[in-house]
Amino acid sequence: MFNFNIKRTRIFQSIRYSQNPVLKFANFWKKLFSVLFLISLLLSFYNFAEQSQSNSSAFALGLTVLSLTLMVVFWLLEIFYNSLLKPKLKFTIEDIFAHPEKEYNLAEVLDLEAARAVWQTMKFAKAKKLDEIDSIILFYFLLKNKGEQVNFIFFRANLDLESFIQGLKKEIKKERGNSQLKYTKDFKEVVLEALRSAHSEKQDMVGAGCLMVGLAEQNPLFKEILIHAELKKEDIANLSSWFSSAEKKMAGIKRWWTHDNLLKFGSLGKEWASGYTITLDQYSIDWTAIGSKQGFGEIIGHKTEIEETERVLARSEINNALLVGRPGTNRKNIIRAIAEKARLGTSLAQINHKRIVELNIPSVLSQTSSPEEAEEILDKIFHEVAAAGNIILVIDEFNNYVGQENRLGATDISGILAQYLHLSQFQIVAITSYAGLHKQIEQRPTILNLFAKVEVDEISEKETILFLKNLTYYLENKHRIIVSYPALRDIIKYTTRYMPNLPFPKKAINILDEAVVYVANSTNSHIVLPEHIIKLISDKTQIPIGEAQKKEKEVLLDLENLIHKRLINQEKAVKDISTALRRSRAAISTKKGPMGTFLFLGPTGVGKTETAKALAAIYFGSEDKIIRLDMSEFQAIEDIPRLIGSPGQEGLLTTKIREDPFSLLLLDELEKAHPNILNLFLQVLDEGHLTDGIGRKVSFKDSIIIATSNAGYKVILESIKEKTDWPEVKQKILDFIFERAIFRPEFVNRFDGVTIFKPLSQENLLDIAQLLLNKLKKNLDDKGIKFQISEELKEKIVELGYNPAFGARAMKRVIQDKVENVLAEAVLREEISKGEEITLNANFEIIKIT
Amino acid sequence: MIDVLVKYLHWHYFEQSKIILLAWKNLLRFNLEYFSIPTLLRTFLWPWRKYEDSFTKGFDLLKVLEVITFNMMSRAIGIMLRSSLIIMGTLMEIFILFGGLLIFIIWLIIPALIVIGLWLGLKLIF
Repeated sequence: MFNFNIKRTRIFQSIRYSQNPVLKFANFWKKLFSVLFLISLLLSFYNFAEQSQSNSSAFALGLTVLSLTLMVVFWLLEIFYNSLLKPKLKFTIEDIFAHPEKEYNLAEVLDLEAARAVWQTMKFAKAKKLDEIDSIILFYFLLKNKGEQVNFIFFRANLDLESFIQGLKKEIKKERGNSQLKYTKDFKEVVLEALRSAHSEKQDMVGAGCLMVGLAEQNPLFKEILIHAELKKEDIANLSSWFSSAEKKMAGIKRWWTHDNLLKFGSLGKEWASGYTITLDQYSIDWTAIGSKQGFGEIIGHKTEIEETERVLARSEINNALLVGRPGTNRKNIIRAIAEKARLGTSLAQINHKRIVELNIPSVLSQTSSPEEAEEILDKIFHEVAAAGNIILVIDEFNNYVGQENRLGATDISGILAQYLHLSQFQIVAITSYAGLHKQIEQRPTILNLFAKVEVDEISEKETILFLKNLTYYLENKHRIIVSYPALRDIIKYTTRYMPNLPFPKKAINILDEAVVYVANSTNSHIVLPEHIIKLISDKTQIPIGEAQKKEKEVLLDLENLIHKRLINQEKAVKDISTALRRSRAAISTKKGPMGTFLFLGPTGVGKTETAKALAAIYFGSEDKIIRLDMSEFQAIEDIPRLIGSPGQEGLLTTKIREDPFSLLLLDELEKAHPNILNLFLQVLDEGHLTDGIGRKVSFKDSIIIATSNAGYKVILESIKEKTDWPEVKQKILDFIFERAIFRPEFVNRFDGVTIFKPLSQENLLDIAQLLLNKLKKNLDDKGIKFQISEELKEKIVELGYNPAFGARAMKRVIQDKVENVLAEAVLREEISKGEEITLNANFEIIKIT
Repeated sequence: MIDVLVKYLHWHYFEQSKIILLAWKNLLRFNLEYFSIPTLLRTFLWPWRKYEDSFTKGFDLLKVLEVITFNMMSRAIGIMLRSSLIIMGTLMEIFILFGGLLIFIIWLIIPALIVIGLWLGLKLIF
């Protein structure tokens, strides 16, 4: 049963109190009387100074006492009033879900803003004698009150509150009934959904934001508007949660007298039992001192890594931590978190009240004239750290100082450091990357064994958005620009999809920072919108993002015709590629792998590579967007590192895809590659990613992969001779390939399309000859010479240039040798000139027409 | 009106009194931590900033006397400085103790003070 009675709740009393004029304006009266108190106090002092005994001095004194008293009265009433607005709950939202059988009055957990809207809804329904109370009326009053939460959500979502209110007003049904005042089904669903939202976000009360989540689910008008604004129910929930957490934070800060807040003042004298670190102080950054002066703000994410590092540092032996993670995963945040916890005494006993100091080794190297001098200073520093007893040392880019030759910014300190690492009073946190770990540190097992590795992963999307929310306030203040919530959401969405190689939070922070600067300096807007984010990421990655642009839409819809302008025949192959691209760009495709993967089988010179080139030129904009690999260069197992890289060597395949993910990957002569290399591509074709030789994940999701192979071409030629039906030919070729183990069935099955390229017919060849001669014609046109392409010329070229074994490849050579050479000579000898019209006969002799 | 008054009295003498006592307790506890009194007492006799000399091998009377004198001076400096902070912290603790008590008493009698203030103010004016 739906138990929802606003009048029987404590919050209803709060609504009544909020209408009490004395309580409502207590703050105003307090301020008024405090000003009066100050004025009358000054007057009293003046009278006292004048030693006046007149009535005016008594009056002034009386006024002072009275205004002070009234100031105190209204100050008390103000605090009392604020406490009334947030009454103690009879039960919690958790209780409601834990004991559904108890049928709690759900209205009890509403906050003031939500309860006020509900009460106004009831009053309106009663006044209009309505039979039903539906969610539209609730929505109307919720927005009309323009409470803090509603204002916040609409502001951040970039929605127009006023037009919403006007729209809702028209929708409210006002037909009088019999005052049955029953809640409609959608009203009940809104309340229940709001409750679920508050519960999942671990909120204490159901606020206006939670009601809006319920309305986003149930109210058709709100749903429609959200769809047009490209917002979802989850976005409203996130905004509601953003507001609530900010409110909670502010309320926490106001309670200055709590133990946690008082601890932030730090302490005095704790380091008096520890030694001085004079040398260390000259070449270091004291994170504890920085935290004490300016604070670090909220540390988001890496909770597990922070705890693990603390446990390592608290050990009695091998209490040195090695933080390993990709640059950009905010490893330094772990250091800041530990510094803050140590300063406040909220970490483990072995860490509390210790100074977290980062050693700046480049500073030591730059200020010393020889490696020996640097070693001496470093030894002194490490000795100070061990003797002081209250230092946790941090070394960033640790791989630069292990197993390195002396060069700018790098040296080998492993020798000096090793003496101290086994001491329990010497605690160190070293930071490095995976590349650094594998290249340098793992080559020194004596050093590595004295550290406990802590792997630092990138923070989650949810944590990143919290990070961005905090950063937003700072950037908005700095640049006087507003950042809309949809822009923040899209930063996460598009950086996840199109910048997979960079970790959170760095890539998101960079995009947000750049977007704010871009909007502030390059546009007339004062608000960062999703379109700004799309433009920035598109420019960075060279991938067209968001809804396919108008021009791109036209290209996609007409892709087959456009490709056939430079490719003759092979309609099936072109159709397969075009449909795969359309599916991918319309975001309909459910597949995980690359945009499209195709295996082209057929004899040489029939257009397999030409198809790939045509697609690259038309869709990707240039033939340069092809990453072409001749797989005959990878016939040995030792060639795998050349393909995917290794420490010290970039991979031919993986590096190019990482740098330019939106490309066409052409794998020529695939059958010649070593079988183990083909196995690498199994994962690429299925999942769309590959791990390179240094452990980095490379994404192929924005690539098209075309593999070509001549395997089984003799089967095709024989089938043509025997005039076999074409559908049977494909099966024959596949059987041939599987029997000879050229490719395994599970490999071939992973391609989106396997297309057999037919040998070219006489007609095809004439068309190809026409295409090739058209290019020549265009060049001559530029010189003012009109070139007529005769049928006999084309037939001669086909006759000389075609070989079933080699396809149409030789035709280009024939045109070059027989046609272009002749014309070039004639032009140079001035035998043909501007304005003339010429043709060539079957003997390649120039014939002037005009 | 009556129910508001009852609510106010409950809030004033029960809820807010609890908060004031809690704040008082937190301040007393924090003050001890801020001045590091437990740590300073525990390390009262330690050498100042771990500055101490150690005896060398062999027996050299002058060297031994030098080491003993230096270490005693280091401890003396430590005792002096720690004592000053302990004294400051203790004085502050006493201040918070009595100050907190005063604030709590004022809070309890504030309604009466308000009545007196209103009466006195009006009397002086008229």
